[in-house]
Amino acid sequence: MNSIVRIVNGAGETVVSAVSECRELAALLLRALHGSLFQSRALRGSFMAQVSRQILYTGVEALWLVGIIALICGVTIVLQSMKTMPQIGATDYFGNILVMAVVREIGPFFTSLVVIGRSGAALAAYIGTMRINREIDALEVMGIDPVHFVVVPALAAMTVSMICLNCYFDIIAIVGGLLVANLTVQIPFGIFISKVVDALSWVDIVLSCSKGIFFGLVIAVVSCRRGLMVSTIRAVPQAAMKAVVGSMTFTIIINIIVTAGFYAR
Amino acid sequence: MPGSITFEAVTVQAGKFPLLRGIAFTVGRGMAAIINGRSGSGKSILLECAAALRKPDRGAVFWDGTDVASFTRKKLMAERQKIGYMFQQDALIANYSVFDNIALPLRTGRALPEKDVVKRVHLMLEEVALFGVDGMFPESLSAGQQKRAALARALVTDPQLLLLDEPLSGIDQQTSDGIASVLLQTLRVRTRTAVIISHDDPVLSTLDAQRYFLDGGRLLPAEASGETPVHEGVDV
Repeated sequence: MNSIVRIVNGAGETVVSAVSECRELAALLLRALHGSLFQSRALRGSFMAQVSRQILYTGVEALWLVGIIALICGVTIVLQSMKTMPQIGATDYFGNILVMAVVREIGPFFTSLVVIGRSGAALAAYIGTMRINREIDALEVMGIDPVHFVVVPALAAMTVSMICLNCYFDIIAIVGGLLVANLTVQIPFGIFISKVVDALSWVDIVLSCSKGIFFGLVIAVVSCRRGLMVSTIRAVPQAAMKAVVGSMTFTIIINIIVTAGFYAR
Repeated sequence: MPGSITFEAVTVQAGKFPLLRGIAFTVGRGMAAIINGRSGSGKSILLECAAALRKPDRGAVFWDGTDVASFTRKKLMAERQKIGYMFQQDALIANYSVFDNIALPLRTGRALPEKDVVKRVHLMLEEVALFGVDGMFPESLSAGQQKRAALARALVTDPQLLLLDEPLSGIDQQTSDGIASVLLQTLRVRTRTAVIISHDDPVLSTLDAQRYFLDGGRLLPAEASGETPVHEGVDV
């Protein structure tokens, strides 16, 4: 009986802490969005500089890694599709399958994994270090809201980077995948690419971009919150790790919700 | 505008352990208070309460007679722009150059044209004798240069209230003398209100100020504390 009570208590505490975490994240996101809408004129200069720096780190420097992953995914999907689809008589749907797999699902998700691993963890560690070095306190005492100074640029940069990397992934995966497949098994490249273009609709682009926006927002807000929660130097690596786990969890949940929302319409 | 500061029975605890016990004192407009004490006696926590970085468990801090706890967040941020705070660890923004660090409080909350910001920062750099480092990042500076940059950032807005945490610790004598002279000049000529956390610094002893000794979380007048001057390294 006691063990059942303990299990129920444990489950209850987990749910309460998860709800509380979601509420805190939502509050931070709202503060940051409010901050981005009503950015003080004085902070705009530093905002642009920080956004540019963050885009360079999160977006530009991740191009090679995203490119390699996209190419591998693209080649694998193209080759598998070309081998399997004729066997089930679905050759005509080659474009649809590629768009569905790459543009709607794999592109946004793999891109988010790269961004979480590279930038989410680094962002949490960076903000955590700022906390330890009392830079966050220094901002507070100068009358500068750290959310406006640190979180808003991270949010903007992460979202822009996610959307751009997402598009980049899709292009490399589809075009690169078809090109490599063309070199290896001599496929008619022009025909296949036209099938993909025909299958691509504005719904796919909106879905892909929506995921990019949501994933960017959630990765930034989870990472920033983890960094801002740091209180000791020992907590910095833990913050980075928790940022990765939290971002992945929320990304998966949001991916399911957004996908389900689009299919349910 | 926080020209005077009052502590009223301020108590801060870490769990059940008291860090500050019923701290009560007032520093009038244009006056200075120097607070000595051993490492770990709660000096930095007292200063954090003064800047509303930490909320007391009991008691209240007043800026010009207004309870800091009664401010909305927006009002608090606006009032803080009138404070100059120098952290013991300097707390310069790591990915900002020395120039941008010092310009930061001028660019936020003050509608100064950029050419005035540049002029003001260069004047301040000259005042604290920091030459040729404005484009460098804090990590490239020596401890003394970081201290000077932090002092410049605290003073650049010509604040009404100065809160200085160990401004002269952990640096060589020459740098210490330089910083002290800038401080004394600011306090005497510009008559700014100041709370200075310090170990026994001979230069600051020439300053006309209220002197306190913080011991076990209790604030005692320095002459009543019966303590010998404290000569220690950097407070942690």
